[in-house]
Amino acid sequence: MKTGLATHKTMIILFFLGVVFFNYPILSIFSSKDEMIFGIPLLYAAVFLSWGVLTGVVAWIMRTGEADDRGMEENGT
Amino acid sequence: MTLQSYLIILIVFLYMGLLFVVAQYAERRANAGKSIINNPWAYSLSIAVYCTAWTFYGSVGRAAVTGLGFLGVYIGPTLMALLWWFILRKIVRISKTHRITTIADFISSRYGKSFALSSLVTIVSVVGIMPYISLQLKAVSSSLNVIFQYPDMGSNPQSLSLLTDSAFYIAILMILFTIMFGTRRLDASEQHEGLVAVVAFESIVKLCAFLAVGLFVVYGMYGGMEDVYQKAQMVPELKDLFYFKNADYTIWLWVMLLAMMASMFLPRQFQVLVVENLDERHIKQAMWMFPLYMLLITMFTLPIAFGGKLRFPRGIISPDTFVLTLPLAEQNFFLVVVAFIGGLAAATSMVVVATIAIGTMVSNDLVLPVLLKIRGFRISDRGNISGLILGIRRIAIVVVILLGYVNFRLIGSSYALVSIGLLSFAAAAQFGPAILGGLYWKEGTRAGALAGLSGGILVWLYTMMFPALAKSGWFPVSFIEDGLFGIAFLKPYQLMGVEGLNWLVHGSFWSLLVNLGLYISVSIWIGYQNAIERHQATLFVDIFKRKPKGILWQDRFVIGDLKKLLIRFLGVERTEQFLSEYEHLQGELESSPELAEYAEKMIAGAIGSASARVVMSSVMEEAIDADATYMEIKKALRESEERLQTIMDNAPAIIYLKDIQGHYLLVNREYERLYHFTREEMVGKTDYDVHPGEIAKAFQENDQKVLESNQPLQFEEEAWEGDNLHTYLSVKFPIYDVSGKAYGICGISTDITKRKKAEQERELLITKLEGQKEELERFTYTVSHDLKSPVVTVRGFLGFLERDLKEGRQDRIDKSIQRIYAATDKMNSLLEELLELSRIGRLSNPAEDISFQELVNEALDAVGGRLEEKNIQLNVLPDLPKIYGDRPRLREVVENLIDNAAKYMGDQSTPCIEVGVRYHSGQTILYVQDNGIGIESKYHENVFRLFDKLDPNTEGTGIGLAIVKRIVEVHGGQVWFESKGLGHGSTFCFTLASREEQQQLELQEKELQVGE
Repeated sequence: MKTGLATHKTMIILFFLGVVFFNYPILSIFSSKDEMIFGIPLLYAAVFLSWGVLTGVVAWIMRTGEADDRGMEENGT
Repeated sequence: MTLQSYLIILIVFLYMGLLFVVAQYAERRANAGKSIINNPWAYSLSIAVYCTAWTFYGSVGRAAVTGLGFLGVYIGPTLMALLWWFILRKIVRISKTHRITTIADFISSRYGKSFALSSLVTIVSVVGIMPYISLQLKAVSSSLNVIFQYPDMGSNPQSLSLLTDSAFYIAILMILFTIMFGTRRLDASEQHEGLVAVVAFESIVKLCAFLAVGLFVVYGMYGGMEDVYQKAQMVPELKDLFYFKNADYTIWLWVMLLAMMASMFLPRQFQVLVVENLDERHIKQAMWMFPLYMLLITMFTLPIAFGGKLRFPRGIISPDTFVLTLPLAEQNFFLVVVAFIGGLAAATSMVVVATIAIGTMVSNDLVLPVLLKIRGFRISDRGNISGLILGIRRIAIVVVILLGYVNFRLIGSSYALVSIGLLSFAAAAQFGPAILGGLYWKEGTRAGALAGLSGGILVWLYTMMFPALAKSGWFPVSFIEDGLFGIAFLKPYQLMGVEGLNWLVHGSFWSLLVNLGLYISVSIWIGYQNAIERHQATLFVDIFKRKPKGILWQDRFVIGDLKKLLIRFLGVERTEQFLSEYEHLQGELESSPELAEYAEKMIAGAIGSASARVVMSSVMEEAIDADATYMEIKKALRESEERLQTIMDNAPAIIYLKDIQGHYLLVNREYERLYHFTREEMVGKTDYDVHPGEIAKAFQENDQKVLESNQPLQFEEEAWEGDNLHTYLSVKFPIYDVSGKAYGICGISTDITKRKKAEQERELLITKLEGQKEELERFTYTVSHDLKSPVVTVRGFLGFLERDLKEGRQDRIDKSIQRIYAATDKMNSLLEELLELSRIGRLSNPAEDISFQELVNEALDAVGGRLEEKNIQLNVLPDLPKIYGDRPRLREVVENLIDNAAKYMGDQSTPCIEVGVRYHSGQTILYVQDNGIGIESKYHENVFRLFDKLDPNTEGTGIGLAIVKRIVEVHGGQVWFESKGLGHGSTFCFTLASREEQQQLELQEKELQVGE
């Protein structure tokens, strides 16, 4: 249950970080430069990359959480 | 070369056949207990029904216009998914617990199973979903048009008649497909394993198709991403899309917000997320799998958009069709078919899930409750309820899809795909406040939800839906340009004069503001929730806490009726199964509120909670509609009773409660102690069982007065406590029932016996002291007055003496000295007698039995001289009684009386005094009688007063009779005189208390002194 709560909190923090990151003015940082990364416009690259990273982080946390769940079931709770 | 239309039609039917195979397979596996969809992958893929034909075709079109702007629709749900473990898990738990099957059911159930809300949500859903369905029809139909007409894109699809409009056939096809899929049979849980499997399968198909097109465009037509963007960079118009303009951020934010709501609250999203969820733990994996799916399916959207723009620079080809037109242009017909199937998959999955969800809603939350409310329609007379429900659903599906088609014909051609989709998003977002508020805010009320939702949807219609119709030519355009009736601040795109906002931002802002504002303010302002509303609010908000013990059905119902009802909605098999499960769980099958609640949930699973409630109320009564649940009230009542009894028991007074006939209902511990009855024994007894007749009668009379006056009254009451009569101060007051009628009398009686006695003693003492004080004042006055006259005499003669001494007149000197002596003698005797008076009662001799004869003789020794001097004859009558008392004092009495008689003899020729006794009404009266001057009746009161001499000229101090009075009173007797008036002599009589009486008096005296 401890991990469950911590997961909860992490998700809420990630939510607020995400809302802030994927909006003005943070996004405008990437929108003002005339640059390309791997041949992709900076804004596109930044959004897709961070989207991928966010999804990866959630996947990692939730995979760990699943192990906890199994532990809980084995204990009969 | 072009694709033949029969080939396409063949492909469509083959594909749909494949879907049936998938559905059949999934259901067979499910029945065998080996579900292929009971895993997070299938769950996540079914959620991807979110990505419709809009995603497949429209997002490319939007990307071609706004660049990254199309992505808000996917970033929003990604962020929302982060909160799923919070919000979605709660909604799922609630829905599973209460067998909620639609979003209308969810909202209505939260706000007291309100029919008004369930029907409103249903209507909003139908209206809101219309544009979305028309979008799917438009996508498929235009994809067909593209395939058949490419490269000649000039013709206008709206010029087609109904029979030649491909969208119409697609609509018909979708209707058939959905009816065959979703309404084959009635499932109590509304879970459709086959459907979910098909949706998940279609999600894979559309993802693969889109990725195939993306890979073909990026790597087949161009040299990778880098190449596409480098080429696009050369075109200024396209390079602009690499950046966000300032206005884009606001739209981006609002699209994100709407998408967050829509991804959860669109009816089809609710269906797959909540209703079709098989395991809460799947949510955890879906939280990243669903965003990953969206990431993959949008990855190539921008390159395709730029690729298309570069490939068709003249702008004749709509960017919405790039997914098809790019492979067409490259003559890759296999990929065209793949892309077409992908788009078809996206469209069909959306339409099937959405219309099934809407169909369930229309039947369970709109039509059935209405039918149940119609008196003529007796649900008990209808055998085949499931047939009726399925019929309603089929009709609903037909109507919804045809409405979508009509909508498509009305506005479809004048709008881009994405704008139509956003209309539906904004409608779905209207459910947000009521659902999220309902999950976390218990005070959110039915009235608030109704007001918010209807307000929001009206603004949505006004600022978004109607202008869309107006733009398509169905309303005059002046409605948009000049506002309703030409009122400027009612312009649907500049409401209240707010200008410069994109129509989407503007409409979303106003509708959600009105929605949220009304929801919160009406909830707070009205604040009233009835019992079932409050009960449901607690069940929803506290779903993860311990289940509150709420009882909303009474236990008076016939199990047979309930069983009939269950069979009607669930079928015989499921009913038997359910009842035996319940019996197994609870031990026995009896008509309890719990059974009723359980049965209600089962029926709710089949026909929705609002309908279930109506159906249930046909066989049983709703339990109390009071402030708290039954158990809470019972507990509170017991506590309150115990509190009252404790307070009563610890009061020092007697407290009791009688009914108006005088039967005791309740007594306190003090009562039990005094009258030796327990409170149980006292119930039903009257005052006559406890008190003697006259006392009980007095009590009842007082009770009657209280009842008549109808207000609290105070009485002094008496009652025996053992052998002692006690006095009580009783406060009695009527007790009223709820209707304000007196049903009993309560009394509080305080024992005031001691106080009463003390009061009486004090009164007595005060009277006594007042008499003594008066006497003392008079005494002081007369003593000083009487002492003054000898002093004046002495002074006068001292003056004479002085003068005579100077003149040497011896004779007169002697005379003056004689006078001075006489005066001082008089003073002396006065003082002696005062001393004597003060001794009475202070100094006393032991009392003894005395012969009155002897006492008279002794007295004669003292006063005999005066009698002889005045020649007075004294007659002492024989047979005088014995008396008891202080011998010297009593002698003094006799002396004084004889002396007094002698003194006031006057000029009587034969003066005579008689001492004797007479007996009158048991009293021994001793008397001294003379034949002297007598006393005028007006002096009667003054005779015994100190220093009150009747004749100032007579000798004596005026103390004598006062002394007599005091001595007689000390001996418990009385003294008085009788006279027939002046010249008729007078008789002084006195009595004395008997020996026993005097001893008693003495004892009391001592007690009083000890007490003081």
